Amino acid sequence: MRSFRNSLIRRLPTLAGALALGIGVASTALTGEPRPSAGPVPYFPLAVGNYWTYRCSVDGEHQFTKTVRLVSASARDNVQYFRAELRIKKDKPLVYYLFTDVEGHVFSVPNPSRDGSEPLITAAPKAGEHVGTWTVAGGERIDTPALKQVDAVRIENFDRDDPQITAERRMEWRGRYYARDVGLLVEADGLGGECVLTQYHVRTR
Amino acid sequence: MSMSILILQQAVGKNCPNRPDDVKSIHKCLMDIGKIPCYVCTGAFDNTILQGIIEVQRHFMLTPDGVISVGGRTQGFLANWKNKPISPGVQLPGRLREAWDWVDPLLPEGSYCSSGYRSADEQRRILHNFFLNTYRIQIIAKYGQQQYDAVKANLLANESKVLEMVRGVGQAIAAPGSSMHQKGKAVDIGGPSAIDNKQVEVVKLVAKAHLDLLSGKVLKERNGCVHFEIR
Repeated sequence: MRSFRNSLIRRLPTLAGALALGIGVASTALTGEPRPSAGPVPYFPLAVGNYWTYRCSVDGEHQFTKTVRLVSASARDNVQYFRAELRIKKDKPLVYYLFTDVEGHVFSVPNPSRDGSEPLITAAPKAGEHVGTWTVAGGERIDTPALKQVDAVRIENFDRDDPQITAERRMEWRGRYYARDVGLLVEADGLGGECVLTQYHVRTR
Repeated sequence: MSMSILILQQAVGKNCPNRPDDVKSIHKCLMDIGKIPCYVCTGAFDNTILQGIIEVQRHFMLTPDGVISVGGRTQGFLANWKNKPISPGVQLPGRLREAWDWVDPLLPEGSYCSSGYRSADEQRRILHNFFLNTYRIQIIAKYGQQQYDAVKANLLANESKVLEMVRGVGQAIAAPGSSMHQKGKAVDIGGPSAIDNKQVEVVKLVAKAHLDLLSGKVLKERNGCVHFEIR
């Protein structure tokens, strides 16, 4: 799954000040402190029992299979935190939590609190919109073993479609594809690593 | 490098009608792309033009036939023949360059070479960044601070452990020195995803014509590249 990497902007005092003044953030951008509550999240359906299995490979060579499963949910400060377990083989799982804010944006966090949360996807991602330090690149139709020709949105750490990007910089590219009513379809990177959805089960709450 | 309008009334080549206007068009096209030397063409089909056609077909045919049919593959490639850019910093040593040169002019517009040889140190830099920054919190959550610190104390000596821990939090990555890029045997082609299938088609065609050079492995990767390998 994804890192809990920070949202730099979240820590900016200016934004904190703006929030304190009730100015808030634009409803389409996901850069601010998450606010409580949640509605249905079409691009990342959260419900206990949902799971997603991925085949992970590098340049087509299989490395491992991983499964992310939402195993339980708990409420705190009007926020419902879903406990996610990422399992590879029979290893001890990596545990983290997913929650949504009032606008339906989804966050990942190491513990069931809002401290150190990382935004994953907005409720209705649009090209050019920021998701933490990443950007929504736009939509495209992709194939995975689980789903054929599915409309997905790509979120990436920088624009990869520029021939002038140096080879060195391109290696640092990372991206994620999400599909409506499915969740995370694909994770990919500039070194040819990718995790592709092979199986999933989702239901909305 | 060239981009010509190439309209043919009838086939040009060995044992073909070879209408003078068609021959002149092919002659100009072959000169533009540097497959034949510059000279004045009278409209007569000659051996230099034949050799030029064969040189073009060598890119994608195991046995060139020296014939350009109207609306055929050779005409299509000739009409869109263009060398594509190579991104800054891309290294294409030896046979990698040879492979790129065969594929390059046939690729659809918008294609470019985005990666070739990568050193083990470059791979290591990304691996270490994953360990130290991107996945630090997850690695500590799964393996504990003590184990993380022990591995961090000497990343080079503990490289197999670094790999294990990065993969253990769900990130697929090759060991430094082990990927085909680091062996100098892989090229990535960039470009809009809309032309991915065409790029794959071209590389497969070239691979069939150069069985001793290209391995035939061609992948459409989710990082926006079409990846192919050489033997």
